[in-house]
Amino acid sequence: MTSVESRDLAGRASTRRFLLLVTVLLASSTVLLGASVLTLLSLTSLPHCAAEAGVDVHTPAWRALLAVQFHADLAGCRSDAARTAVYASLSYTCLTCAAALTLYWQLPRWRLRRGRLPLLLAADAVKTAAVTGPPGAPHGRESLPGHLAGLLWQAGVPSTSAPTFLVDPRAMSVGAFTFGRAGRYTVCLHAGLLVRRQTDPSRFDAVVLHELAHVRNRDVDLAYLTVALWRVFLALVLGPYLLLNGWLSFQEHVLGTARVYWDGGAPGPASFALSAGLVVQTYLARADILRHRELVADHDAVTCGADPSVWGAQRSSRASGATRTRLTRIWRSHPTWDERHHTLTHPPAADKGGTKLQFLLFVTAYVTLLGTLVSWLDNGTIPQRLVRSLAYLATPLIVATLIAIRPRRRPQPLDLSPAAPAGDGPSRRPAGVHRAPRTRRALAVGSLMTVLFLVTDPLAGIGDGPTGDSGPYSLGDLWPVRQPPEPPRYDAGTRVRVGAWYDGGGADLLRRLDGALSAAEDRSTGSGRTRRCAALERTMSETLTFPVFPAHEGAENWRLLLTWTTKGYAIQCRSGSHDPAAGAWEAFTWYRSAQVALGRLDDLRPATTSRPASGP
Amino acid sequence: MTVMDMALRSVVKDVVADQSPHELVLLDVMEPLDDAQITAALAGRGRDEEGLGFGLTEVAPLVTPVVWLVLNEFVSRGVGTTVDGIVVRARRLFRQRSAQPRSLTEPTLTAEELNAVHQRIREKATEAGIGTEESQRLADAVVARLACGRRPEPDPPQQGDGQATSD
Repeated sequence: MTSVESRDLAGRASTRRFLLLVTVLLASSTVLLGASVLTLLSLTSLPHCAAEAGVDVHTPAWRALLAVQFHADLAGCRSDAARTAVYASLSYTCLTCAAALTLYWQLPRWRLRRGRLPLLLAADAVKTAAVTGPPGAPHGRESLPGHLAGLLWQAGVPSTSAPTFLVDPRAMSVGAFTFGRAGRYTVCLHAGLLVRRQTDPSRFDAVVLHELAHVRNRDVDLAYLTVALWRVFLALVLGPYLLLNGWLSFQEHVLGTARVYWDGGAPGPASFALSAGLVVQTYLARADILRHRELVADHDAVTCGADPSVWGAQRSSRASGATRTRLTRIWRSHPTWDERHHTLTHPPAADKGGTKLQFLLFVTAYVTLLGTLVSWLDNGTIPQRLVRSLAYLATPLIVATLIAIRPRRRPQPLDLSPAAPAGDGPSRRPAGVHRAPRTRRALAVGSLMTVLFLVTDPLAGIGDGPTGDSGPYSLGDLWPVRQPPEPPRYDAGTRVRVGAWYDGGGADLLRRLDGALSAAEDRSTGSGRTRRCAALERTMSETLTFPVFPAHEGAENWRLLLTWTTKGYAIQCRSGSHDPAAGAWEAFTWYRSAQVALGRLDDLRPATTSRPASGP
Repeated sequence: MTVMDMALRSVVKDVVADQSPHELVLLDVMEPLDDAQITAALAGRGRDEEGLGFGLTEVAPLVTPVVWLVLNEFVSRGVGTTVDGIVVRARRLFRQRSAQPRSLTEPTLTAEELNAVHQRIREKATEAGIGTEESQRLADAVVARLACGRRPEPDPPQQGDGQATSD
């Protein structure tokens, strides 16, 4: 008899991986829903808000985007959009959970109604037979109810979980399957199996004990909860998200319809890549988890008296197609018969860690959760302390799972002492839900880390500034510094337009912006910072609505000026950090870069236009 | 020779008891269903359950669906024969199960009809994966049951003169 630890390794933290998968789906749901809401609001409220603020969304895309993100008159609309996205995504995610639970609860009933499978033995009848009949008595097997009741007793299924037995007369295979929900499990025997009850009793017992192990180990709940959640997620979240993004991307890239979106609501290839990754991750993770649950069910069935030769008889002797089998195997929810028989006859004696696939799936799940965390922090609507606390509370699950499936260079030997003495009666029952020492240690470590994180708050400061942007430290951004000015070479028409731009307010705007940037470089905090931020925001808002520089030589500098100014502003004036000085240096470098671009624009001014006195 | 009422399931049960008695449990389980439901249950294709199943795909060829579906087809369409009246007569022979089955005094099936049934049974049995010899024996048993009009009596013990009793 194998030990509790061997059984634990056969499952390889499947419950924890199930919970991690559910967490990933729920977290992804909030991100996708938030993005969808922002996209919809970009189509509905943003044009109205921009019109009221005097922002032309049909100007160069980069300026429209900066205006949407930083124009002062759009601040109210921006906050409303972000808040709506957060509340809608959280509410809709709760609705998705409720729908998934409803589907999980109702699915067995619909399945029974649709299948119209003949009843074999009701759960109450099984319980009655189990109570009144002598357990495990040989003559109990002559009758079908007695036989099933005896197997129930062998499998250690509590009476509260006693399943209903059905038969599927259409299925000629010698098998069975289990479905249902908590308190209402059903084991469906195939007709091919039922008719062999007395001619091939060892196979009959092995199959039924295997299915009863699924009932006892609550595999039915986990498997069908995941199925329900995934189907609802596809129907209510991912499907609409892909449809919306697909349609808008088609309009933009094929029909040429240009639009501007709230920050975080723009469709693009990243959304499809994220969706595809999520689908693949979920399918592979679910299949891997179910494969290991099957191995545990096999283990429990044999522990309860099933004949292991039933598994051995199924082993394939074919050598061909091995490569195809390996490639397709990762998508299937059942392990191969070779693997199943090998696990039964050679239970693991050393912990070698998880498989590469399991570790990869863990990493992708972890990255997905991190991405969700950063997304919430960036949004700024949810209090950052709350977001960080939620992240810390997920630590035990993440750490305990990592400990279980991380690859190990040196296999660690197990304690192979039997979990229970061999023999008839209840002592033959498997270890059940008793956790192996490794599992207990992993959960203890994770819990300890949660306490540590809640106290030290190591994630404080993340999300204080814009993410995903290359910093100003790259030479390509800071340099070229102000090069020796070159006389602009304009044709006559361009010279007139450029001159009109400067004389029509451009020169004054550059002067005021220069002053605001210089003032903003002051890194002192307090009310002075608030005033500087407000002044910079006003000047920036005017700049964002001012016509674009009319000549090619200056248009790029104009774009860089606005872009770098807004980056510094975002770090210095919009971060939720409790320490305003934390991003001051980074903001300073962006402001200096913006002043370089401003200086270039000043140098491009035609000699015929008047130059106002410089200064703040 | 008198003909007794032959309900469809009665004929099937007799044949299964004779040819494959371990399959009787399947008929016992479907006892509460009416003939149409049993036909639908046996004719439908089983779902490929990828969920929490044992994973065994080995198929066990069963005679019950073969016999039931062929006889039901015979009742419904006359097994492809074009002789007028066969369907009407067959339906009277295989009257749907009711609470109080009535006796009939219809003549037995003709040799042509029995041949048609025999051929169809062999075809269906072979399709289901039953071996050739077993298919032949099954077809013979079905035809014998239909021809006799009642469940065949078990063979009496061999006597010195080798004569079997007959009714």
